[in-house]
Amino acid sequence: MEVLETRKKNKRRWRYASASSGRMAFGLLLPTFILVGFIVIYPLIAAVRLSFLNYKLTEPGEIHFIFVRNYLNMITDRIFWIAIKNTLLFTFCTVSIGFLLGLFMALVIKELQTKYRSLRALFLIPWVIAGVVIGYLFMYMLDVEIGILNYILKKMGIIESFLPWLMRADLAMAAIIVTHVWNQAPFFMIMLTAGLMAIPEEAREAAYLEGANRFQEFRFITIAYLTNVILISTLLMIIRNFNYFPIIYTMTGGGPGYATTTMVLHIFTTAFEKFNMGSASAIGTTWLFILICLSMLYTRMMKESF
Amino acid sequence: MKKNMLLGVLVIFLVSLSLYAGGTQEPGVTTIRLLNWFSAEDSTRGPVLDVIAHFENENPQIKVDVIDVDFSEHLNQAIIMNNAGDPPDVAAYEGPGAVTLALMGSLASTDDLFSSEFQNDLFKNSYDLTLVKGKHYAIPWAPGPIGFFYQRDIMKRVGLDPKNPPNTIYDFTNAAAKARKQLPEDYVIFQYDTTARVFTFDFTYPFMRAFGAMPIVGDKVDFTSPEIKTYCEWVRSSLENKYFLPGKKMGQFRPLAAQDRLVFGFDGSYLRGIVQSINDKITTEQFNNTWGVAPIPGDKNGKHYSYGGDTGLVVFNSSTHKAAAAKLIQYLVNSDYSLRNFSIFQGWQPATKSALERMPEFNKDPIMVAFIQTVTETVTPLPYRSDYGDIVLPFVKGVQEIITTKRTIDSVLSDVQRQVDAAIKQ
Amino acid sequence: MHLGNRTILERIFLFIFVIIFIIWTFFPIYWMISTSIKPTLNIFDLPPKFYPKNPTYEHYVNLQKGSARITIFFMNSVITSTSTVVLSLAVAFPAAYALSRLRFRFRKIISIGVLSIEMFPLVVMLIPLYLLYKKLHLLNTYQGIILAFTSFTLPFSIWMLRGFIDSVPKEIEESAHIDGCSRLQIITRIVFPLTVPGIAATCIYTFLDSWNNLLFPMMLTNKPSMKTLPPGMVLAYVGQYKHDWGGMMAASVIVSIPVVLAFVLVQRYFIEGLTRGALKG
Repeated sequence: MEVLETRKKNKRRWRYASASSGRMAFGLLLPTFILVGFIVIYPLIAAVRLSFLNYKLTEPGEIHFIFVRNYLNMITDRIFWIAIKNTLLFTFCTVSIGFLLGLFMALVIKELQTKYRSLRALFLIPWVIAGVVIGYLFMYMLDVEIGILNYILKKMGIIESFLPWLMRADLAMAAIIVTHVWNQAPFFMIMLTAGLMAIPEEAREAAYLEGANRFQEFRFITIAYLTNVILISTLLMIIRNFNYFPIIYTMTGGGPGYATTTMVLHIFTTAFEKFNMGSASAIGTTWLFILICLSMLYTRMMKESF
Repeated sequence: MKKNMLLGVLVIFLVSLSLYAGGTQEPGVTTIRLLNWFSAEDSTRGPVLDVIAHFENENPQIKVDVIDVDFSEHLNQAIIMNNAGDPPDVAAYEGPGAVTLALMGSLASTDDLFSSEFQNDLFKNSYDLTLVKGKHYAIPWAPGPIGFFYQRDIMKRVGLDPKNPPNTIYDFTNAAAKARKQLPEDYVIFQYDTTARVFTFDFTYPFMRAFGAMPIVGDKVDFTSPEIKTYCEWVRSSLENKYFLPGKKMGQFRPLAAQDRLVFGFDGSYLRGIVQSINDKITTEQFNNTWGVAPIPGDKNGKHYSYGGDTGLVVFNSSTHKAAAAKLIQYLVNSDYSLRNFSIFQGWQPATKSALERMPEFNKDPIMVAFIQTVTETVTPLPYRSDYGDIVLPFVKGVQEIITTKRTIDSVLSDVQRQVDAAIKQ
Repeated sequence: MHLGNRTILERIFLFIFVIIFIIWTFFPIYWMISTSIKPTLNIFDLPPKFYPKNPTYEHYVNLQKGSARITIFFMNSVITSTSTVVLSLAVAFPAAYALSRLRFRFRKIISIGVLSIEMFPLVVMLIPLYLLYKKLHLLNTYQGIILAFTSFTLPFSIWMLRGFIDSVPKEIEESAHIDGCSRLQIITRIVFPLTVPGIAATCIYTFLDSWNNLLFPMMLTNKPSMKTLPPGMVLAYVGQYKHDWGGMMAASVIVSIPVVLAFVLVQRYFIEGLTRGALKG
């Protein structure tokens, strides 16, 4: 009798798991498909189509098919290559410095007594503040005349005279990197804290018992357990920095000259300041393609080295 | 629970739809939309809204819906709105804006909208700047040539003669050097716009001309001439010697003038009004005594140049209330109330000859008189063309590169030339 | 490792580092707030004062008087952000459930597809979206902005919610099914209540991303009366004549308060939501 009951239960379980799963899934996913189709898939296809057209908002009568001319113009335009270089440099510096700072913060906070651990939440505030606000705030603090940073640095004797942080090519890049690090390091801190807390004490103690010193333990145990967190958080931030717009737009607008023009800025100016929609779509499609390749490469690379 | 959520979403959509529907229109009232930056700027907002309110009082069937826009964005916004199929009826423009919009086919010609009496009253050299293919497309509101302001007290202090302001650009550079040697670091020697906007090119054009450079002549565009190179060297060395602050808009030097930390200014006749709105302790008399006005230092032959900086108003083709729009424009430009409470108050020059005759106040203002007598005649027209933005923006960005990196000027200019050539071909 | 095991030297170092981190994190915020209550002339003071000697509310008052019309921007932000949260949640929760619990043919592809949307640069999609909205008269509408926001909040919401749903034990659902509940009842009466912390975390994220977004509302509206706070700030503070730092900082404080407040109230869920995905593996 009992065997029969269990068999019936198992049958029902199996039915629960697989019956009309396909249809139900379709129903549950339908709203998503509709929304994504309208707001994401359609623009994507439209962008590719636009990239083959000569479409300038300032010449509304002259829209026609020009095949790959937009792409050829893009490749021969030195700004395109400057934007790629700037984006790679900016992303690499921001992510690596942000990661190291976040790791450091996570390690330090972990060592504190539990009651101070709520500081972690307060340290996350730079992450939730709007990009526009951060851009204007740092633009103000880095102002050559009335910016508080110049004043502090001069008072401390670190610089002789006020530096034009946003009007010197090298300094401007440094300025936007520091600003983004201020915004993003807390994200790394939180992710790494969670990762650190998930490391079982036994593994640590086993390492110490085998005679490892602090640094060896860190290298082999801590880092090993953190691999996944490191991979995911750095990938997320790399993608975010490749595409992030508000802070650079409000702080430097891509200037001075083209010193802080990243790819998103370049696409934006081509589309909404030069009003050349076709050209901008060509650059955008190319950029998307580069992004996808880089992400796949990065994921594969990271998985191998660990 | 899901049902409640969906219901909630539906409710929010309906509510927001109704909110968008907006208010109802009264019958018989024409509403015209005015796109401008004066209602967005602190120093001009009160006066301009006041004048518009008076216009509405005198014309009860017309209501004006004022749309703010940032000055730097006014042309872009006008283009975007026009393209979105939703342009305003009237828009304020500066410099090349009218010609750009006219070439896009978005403006109505003013030849047909205004009486010939009014059109003849406008100063011809301003009005003709709006000509495209033989027709006028805008009404000048405030000719705003850029003049040379010199701070008499500071000049005396550093051993320069305030009765003899520098005449050529070379004299000027020497004077700047002399001032810089003796003034502490927080003084800025002169006002110079090195942002990366189309306006920047217009503002700095007189200085290029002072070095003998004419990069755009008809169809020929050459940014690699020795004269342009000399101009770029001058900008670079001026910054290296700390004569001005880099990357600042022209308007960002005005607080410095209000704090008496600026020696030489390059600004319009409206500077006094703005400085007073920043520091209300400066009286008109004080300002007029401290600052003298002369034409922008000229080339080696002493010929002076200036940028017209005309502000004006345009009517869009798609407007269904062109007559009302024309009425508003005429009121703003030439009515006694507007002239008295806005133009004179701001220190603007009038756009019509009759205004000068009707309002003796214009002649009482020494700064205004100096502008009308010495600066206005030095205005040279700018080489506007339909791809103006595509041509001048690479150059102003190049100037930024020159003052912010250590690249050689030749390499920057050749990059600029290549970009410009590519833009022309497209 | 507790503090007790550390030497005095190490404790001092830790303390110094914590102080440095506190200054690094909070000095800009302090500067923003203190500038917003400084009178304008003091803001241009050289040398700058660290402490506002004559605090004033004038910048905050001007926010409403001037052309900035911050209450309009604020209201637009509230409407668009909360609507986006509701819409995203309503669409993402069923989708996340399907991806988590059901077995069907394209499950893996759809999962990867949803996640890869996160990678798309918004500005690339904005161009055709702008032209599409122009045709459909969706420019300057709340619906347009809400839909645009959903395009990037939806994938992330699905990913997050899926992680939370994964952690609800299947046995609970199975026993409910055996007791006769339909699938729909299971989703609404059992899974949904159990994932409330996850839902809270997802809502906060969606709200954050919508509230702070600059690009979409800036280009999809050109009427100042329809702009949200971020593009409203850009509109109001880049005037030709002078830079109103006091007003800009006051506006910054106003823009930041709702998000910081919401975050502080639910930070536990917020952090849990962030870290859950990382630890999944």
